[in-house]
Amino acid sequence: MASFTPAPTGGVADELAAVAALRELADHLEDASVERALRAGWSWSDVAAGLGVTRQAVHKKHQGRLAESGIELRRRNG
Amino acid sequence: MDDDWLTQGMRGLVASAVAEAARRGTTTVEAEHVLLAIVADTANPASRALADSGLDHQILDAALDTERRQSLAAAGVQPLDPSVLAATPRAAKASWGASIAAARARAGRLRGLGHGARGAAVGLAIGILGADLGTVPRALAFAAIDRLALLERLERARPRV
Repeated sequence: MASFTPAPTGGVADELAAVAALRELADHLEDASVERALRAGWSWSDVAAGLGVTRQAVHKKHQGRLAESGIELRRRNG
Repeated sequence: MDDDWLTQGMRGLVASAVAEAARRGTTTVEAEHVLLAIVADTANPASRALADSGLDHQILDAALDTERRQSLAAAGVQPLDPSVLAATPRAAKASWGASIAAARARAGRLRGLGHGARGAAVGLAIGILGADLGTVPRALAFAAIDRLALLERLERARPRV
């Protein structure tokens, strides 16, 4: 049986690429919106509730990049 | 990042690929970021061969933007204003993505590349452009660039040992 190589564009190739592009977009939007929220005075707990994840998860993911960025991170109430 | 590449005199290329990934907003270095780094280094034979066939850094970067836009459009999503996505970069160390691991495996199966950065860059470019599916072949297709013609030109640029 001849081997079948799908085309890189069109049809289901576009759908699969859309999944990858949406994941990337979601990551970028999360980074930007978490940072905006913290700059606006939201606590880590508030941000976590907004994202629908635990405070620990959002803190672990973003604290490292934001600690040095000049944002005054709220400690009270997390 | 693991780095047997560094023993092949490719330290500069690796640093450049990490910077290309960061510029495009990720710490995961994929095949397209390494290809951007290769075409940006106009001193290497792979870059010259690809430029001869119509692929340079500016064209590839624009083609990757088009690919991203078309892929989002397939899900009915329009690109957001870049100001909405502006953020402090993630602090995570760079890591290799699946597409560059596959490209390196393809490059590793090539024979007669010799040692050193010249042959390694050509071999890596052949490995990257050897992918039938994924971001790089999609970007080239959207830009109407003949991937197989690029591969043929790279084959001619391979150092013979």
